[in-house]
Amino acid sequence: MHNIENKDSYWNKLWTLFITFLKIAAVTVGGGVAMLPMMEEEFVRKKKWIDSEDIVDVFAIVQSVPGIIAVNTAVYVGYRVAGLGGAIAAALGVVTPSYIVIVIIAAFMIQAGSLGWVNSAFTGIRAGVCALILVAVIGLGRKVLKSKFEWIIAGAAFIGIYMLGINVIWLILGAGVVGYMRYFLQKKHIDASKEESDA
Amino acid sequence: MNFELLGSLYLIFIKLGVFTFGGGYAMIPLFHEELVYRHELLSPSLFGDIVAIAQITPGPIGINAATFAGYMHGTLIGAAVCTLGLLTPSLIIVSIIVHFTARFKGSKIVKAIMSGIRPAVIGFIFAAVMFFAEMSIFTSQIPLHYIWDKISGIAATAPDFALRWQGLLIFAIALICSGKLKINIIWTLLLSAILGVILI
Repeated sequence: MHNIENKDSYWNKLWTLFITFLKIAAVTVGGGVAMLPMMEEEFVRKKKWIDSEDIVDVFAIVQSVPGIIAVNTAVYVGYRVAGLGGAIAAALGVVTPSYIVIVIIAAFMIQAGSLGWVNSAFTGIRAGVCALILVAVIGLGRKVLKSKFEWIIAGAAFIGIYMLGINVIWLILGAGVVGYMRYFLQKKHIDASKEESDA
Repeated sequence: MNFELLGSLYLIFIKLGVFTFGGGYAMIPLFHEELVYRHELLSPSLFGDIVAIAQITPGPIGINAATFAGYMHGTLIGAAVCTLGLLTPSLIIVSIIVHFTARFKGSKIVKAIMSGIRPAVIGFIFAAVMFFAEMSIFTSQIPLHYIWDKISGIAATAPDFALRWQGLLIFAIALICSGKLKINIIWTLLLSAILGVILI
């Protein structure tokens, strides 16, 4: 009896994960951290599958590993709730709205691509997007660029990608190595001064 | 059905999935480089359109771009293959991490590596700003080579490059709408589109 109930609730869980992440993705424009309030509502308050402390950890972790934040979040929560099956169900839920909407738009654009007013509208939208990204990067920069070290890395990354045309993948790897080395040099420094004071 | 093409699309998007950090705008330069220049799956202006569309449609930008590129090269199945390619690394990496979550959370090495990557991502996003400016505020790419040649005294022919005042105006209006007035992204971009149709 208990077994049957468990099995039933497993598939129910998968379905709920799929539908819930589908809903969240359908109403969040731009993805990422915008999903947080809805996830808290659904998984913490309504379903009580994870606690609110957990959800903060989710965001800390999914942002520090490769992958799209929205997808990583879905995989994380899905795996937590129902293992690998849950991870797959949640990930598919997150991509389904994009898939449907973009396929429709792409089909339309193949036909409308040469229309003059469509091009003008998109030039306008690009100028708007340019402003939106600038606003976003200023906000993010205030949080991340706290010392000279961060400013230098950000500047080097910009010059590397925009002026020198270096592949982003190399820049990411390089930035990771610099961060790692800095940590070790600092640690060595601290260790050395510790030894001095001990002696 | 061209399985060879589908296979290479899948691999391209797996690679993108592995090297996407931070999501959203930060991935624009990477996607741009790989999809437009390296693999020539999309034209530069179509790529700009896709990112713009991704802003006003539901779902993550990267997934939208994958679906779009896939559809252009293999319709419904192509779109599915590219999207799944982008999902694959996340599924593997995050599942492993959740499994060993306690060990990862406190990892000083991961924190150290991220302390370098995070500011670099800010630089990438700023490059995305330039990328969009070159397709709206200006009429073409900023001719860095020409400027460099001029400075170092090499005679070079002036490239076809100009400021598009309509684009600059729309940029300024969107900047005020979003930054100062905190108007919703969708309304800001709708206004930008309407101004584009009227002015350009």
